Amino acid sequence: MKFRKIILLIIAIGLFSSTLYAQEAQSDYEIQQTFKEQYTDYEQQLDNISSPDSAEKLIESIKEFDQNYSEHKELLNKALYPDTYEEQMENLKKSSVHTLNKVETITKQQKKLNKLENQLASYEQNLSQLDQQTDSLKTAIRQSTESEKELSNMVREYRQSLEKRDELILTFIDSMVVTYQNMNLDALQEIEDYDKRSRIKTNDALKLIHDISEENIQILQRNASNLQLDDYMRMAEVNYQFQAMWNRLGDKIHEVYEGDNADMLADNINTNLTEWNNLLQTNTVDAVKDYFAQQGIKTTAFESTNEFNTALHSYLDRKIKESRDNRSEANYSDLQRFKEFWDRVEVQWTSNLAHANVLSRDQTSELNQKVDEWTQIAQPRSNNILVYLLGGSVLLAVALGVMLIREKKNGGSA
Amino acid sequence: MVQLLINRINGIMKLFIQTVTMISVIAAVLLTGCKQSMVISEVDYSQSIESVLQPDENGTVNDIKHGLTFNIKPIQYAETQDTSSVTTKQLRYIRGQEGYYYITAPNYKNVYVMAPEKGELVLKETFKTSDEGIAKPAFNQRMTHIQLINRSTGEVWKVDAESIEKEESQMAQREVN
Repeated sequence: MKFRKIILLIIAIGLFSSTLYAQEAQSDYEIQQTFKEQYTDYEQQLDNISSPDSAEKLIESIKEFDQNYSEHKELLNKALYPDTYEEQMENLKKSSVHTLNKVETITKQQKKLNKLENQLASYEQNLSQLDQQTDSLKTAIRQSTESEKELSNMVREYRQSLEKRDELILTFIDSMVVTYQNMNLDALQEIEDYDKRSRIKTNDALKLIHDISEENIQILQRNASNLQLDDYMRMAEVNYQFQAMWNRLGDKIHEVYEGDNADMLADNINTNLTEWNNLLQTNTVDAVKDYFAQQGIKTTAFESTNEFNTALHSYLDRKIKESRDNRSEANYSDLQRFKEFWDRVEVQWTSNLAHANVLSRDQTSELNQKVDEWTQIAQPRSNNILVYLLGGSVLLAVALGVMLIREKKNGGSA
Repeated sequence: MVQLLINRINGIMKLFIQTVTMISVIAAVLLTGCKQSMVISEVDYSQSIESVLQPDENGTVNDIKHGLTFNIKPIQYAETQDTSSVTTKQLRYIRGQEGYYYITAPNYKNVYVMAPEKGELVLKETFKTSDEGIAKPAFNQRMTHIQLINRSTGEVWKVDAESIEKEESQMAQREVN
């Protein structure tokens, strides 16, 4: 046992000595060659790094590399001329920190993309379910032989499912904006370089945007008769947000998509958005017509947005003139009905009408002045006289009462 | 009359000699001025790191970094007495402070000290290192001399243009550049 220990000790001393010997034998040429090789190796590793952990390990390794070679600084300065050892190490350290930052950013963006990927799958599934639901409701409404009440319930349900669909699209838009707004194309390219999978798996975004834009057109084309002004105003908001998202992030989403038909899908989306705008505008004007007909707001006929604006102006001018000439109950009732519509325009729909290119904000403002004017002068005069008469009668009664009480008092004392 | 002629000739001769002397002095001064060469002293030719070169099939090595090209066959012949083919796979050389080239190769038994001349390297000294030759030689530039090491064994020699001296390895370790 003791002998064995001695043998092991001798071997260890021998190895130590040989190491020392080998260190002595290293030539200047070898030192500079090894330095250059290791330096190049570090540069390559920095190019290929793919996770923050490995970047941090590499930074540590570079520090050790610097410690090992700093004693040969003078020799390496000669070998690296016109560069210097310090410059080269500084560059390497800067590159390593830059790489760490880059990889951290990429990792964050990858997480965002992965999250978006899950969300997209969920949106796609929900949208598909809602589309099926609305399609079947639409079919049921078309084929319905049920009572008016049943039919009305079905239409209401149909409109609710469309509302849910729009809410889902707005959520989808939010997810897209959160994921893509701070992502630059260079970073996306780097993600592609580091992890092909990320790019491929987020393909669905462009396809989903395309499908949503297509489905929206179909909804507007097929279901005009069952939708009301409220629906179109909500759709105008969705359309506006969707278009803003596409204008802002379309290039990035397009860039990320790797399918062969990326250009075609992007072109289709642009075409669909234009058609979506046109249909929304036309359908909104029709819905306003229906609303006016239901509410008994009798404007002149209009078929386009310009005609709608003109019709509103001429209606208000006419009603203001009527109020000036002869304030009447009928005119006041017309005002009440119109105000009911206009209050919603003012409070809820100004932006939506502007986004749908039905009424611009300036046009709404001009009309608003006329509505205010009408409101001020439309109060029926008769109502005021009655109030005055009633007030006067009360005052007269009070005065007479007071006088009678005084008379009685005077008579009593006399 | 004759005397007058002789005097005249003497005068002409005198003038001729004076003129020739003056021209000679001026020429000598001018020529001396032209021949005077400019000398820069304390030139350091030392190459900081040795060059490691691979000869081509003809035995030519080309050091692009230091702008030097030469054929190694004469050195190979001195080492092996054979130039039928290039058997030297690698040549290592370094230039010392005085401008001499120190040349050797793996398994060579000698270090050749060569002086650069116009279009040629002239052998100044041949220093024997060992009978077996150095399997892995390398040159290092040191302040006062060239260091030759055997990377396989750690043996160290101190070399200059005049001599070679084997050093203790621990000394080499302590030696400061």
